[in-house]
Amino acid sequence: MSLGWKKTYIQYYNNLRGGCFYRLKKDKLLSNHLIYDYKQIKYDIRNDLYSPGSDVESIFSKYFKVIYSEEEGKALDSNLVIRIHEQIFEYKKNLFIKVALNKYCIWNDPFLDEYMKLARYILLSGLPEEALPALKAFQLRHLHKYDRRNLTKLMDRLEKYDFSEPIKIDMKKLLQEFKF
Amino acid sequence: MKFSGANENKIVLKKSHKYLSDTKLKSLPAGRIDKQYTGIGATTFEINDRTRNSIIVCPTVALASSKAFAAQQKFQSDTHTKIFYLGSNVGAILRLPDPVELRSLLVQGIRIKILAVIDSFVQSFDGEYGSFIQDFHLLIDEADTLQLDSVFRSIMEDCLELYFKFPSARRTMISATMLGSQILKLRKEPLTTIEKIGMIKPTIRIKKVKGYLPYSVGRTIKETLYKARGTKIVVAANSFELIHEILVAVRIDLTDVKILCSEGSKERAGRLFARLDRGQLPSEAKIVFITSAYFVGVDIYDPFILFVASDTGKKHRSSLLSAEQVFQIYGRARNHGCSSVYYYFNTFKTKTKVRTRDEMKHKPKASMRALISCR
Repeated sequence: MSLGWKKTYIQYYNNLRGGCFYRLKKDKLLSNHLIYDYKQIKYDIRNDLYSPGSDVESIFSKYFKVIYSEEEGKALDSNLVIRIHEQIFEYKKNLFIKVALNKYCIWNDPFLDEYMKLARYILLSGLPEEALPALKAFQLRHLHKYDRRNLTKLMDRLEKYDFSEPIKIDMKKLLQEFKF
Repeated sequence: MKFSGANENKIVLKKSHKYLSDTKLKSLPAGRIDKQYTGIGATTFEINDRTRNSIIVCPTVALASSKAFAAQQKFQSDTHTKIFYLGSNVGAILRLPDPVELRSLLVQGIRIKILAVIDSFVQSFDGEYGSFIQDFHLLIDEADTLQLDSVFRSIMEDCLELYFKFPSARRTMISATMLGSQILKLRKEPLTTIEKIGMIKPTIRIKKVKGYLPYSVGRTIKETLYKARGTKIVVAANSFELIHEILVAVRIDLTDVKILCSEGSKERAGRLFARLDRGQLPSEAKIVFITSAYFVGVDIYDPFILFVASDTGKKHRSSLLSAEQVFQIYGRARNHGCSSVYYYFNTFKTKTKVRTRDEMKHKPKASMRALISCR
């Protein structure tokens, strides 16, 4: 397995799967012990603060004088909330199409998400060929997220990259341009 | 000042002591320091410490560069002290010289203070500057970020390894919200806590929302914006997606909005991206969203009203904020600049199942095998 591919899947875990238990140091795959601390801290926060019956007032009283109240907000299945989610989905779909189809565009639109970033990273970073099948699998797993046609286009585009020298130079230029 | 116990010490700040420099303390002690309060000048204390050369490691470029910039201005006319910055390029700050020049400065007896970003510190002192470890006292500022950011920055573990390469008397880590650890070596480090007498706690309005949180937060922000007339609103959210949802939920005009986030997330903010300019919030924005890069260390001198939103929704739950983080965010205000604090949150339906260390380890290994098998 090449180093580039190891780096990519560590990055994939760090970005999307709540952290990688491994890290690369001087080309060696080593354990990441701090992740255990992180996970434990997160369990504590979830159960102490964000679980039913949590005593938020007493937790915060270590640092603050607390004025506590509860609010009955909009129901998650209300028309308003459904409409908000539809608007966000539509916005992100259009943004994803932009990212997938225009490698030279300037990324000025806010709220590129991790999937789009990963797609862009894949397009720009010149992954070794051996990574492509896994990449396709990753994309297939996320097809439902956006639009099948556009993701297929993105995959077709990746097929064309043979990672020969001119493409690598082209990608280097892109990397500099975006300071990736 | 009172110290007690062998491995657990205490520094007491009297009512008249605003900063650590007001006490009789000569140098920051080695080991872990839980300072418990923000804005007591601990980093400045290390920079001003004339008894030793120091490397002060900060978690972000924004933090290291702003502190380096301020220190350089202060020590401009001092020929015995040199301030250097070690991190990615941010403009007119004195960069760390090459090892030969640095050695020559040390031989001349010049006091060296290096403000470093974690990533650059690890790359340099685990490499070509490795021979300088014996010449410096290491201070890791905002040490809890080592744990909290380890999930997406594996460099944190490298930083911790490097920390233990420094002699035990010449290494310190400090935070206002020091966290516990399962790492035995870290737990064995001596712990010093700072206690401030007569501290008045700020008031926080906590609102538990049953239902859709972004709408409730957004609506209050809009109402406050109307009432506050000119006072900026700072919103700390636990994810970028939450910022998006708040903006869409109550149709906030994007011309009034800026997002302060790390350089790494710059493209996620797009045209809404902004930086804190020497403690001043972007002048054109009425609502400024901040992400985790601005939760610790930075100073905000503008007056503002603070909203902290932490949503357990599916897209946001990986970065739920703790009470310590909310306190850290509040602590960004300087000159009593934060007039009100609101904290909006919701809860899960059930408790989270806690996995043991072995269970945690097993799960990613299995899914990582699956990822590799895709080849």
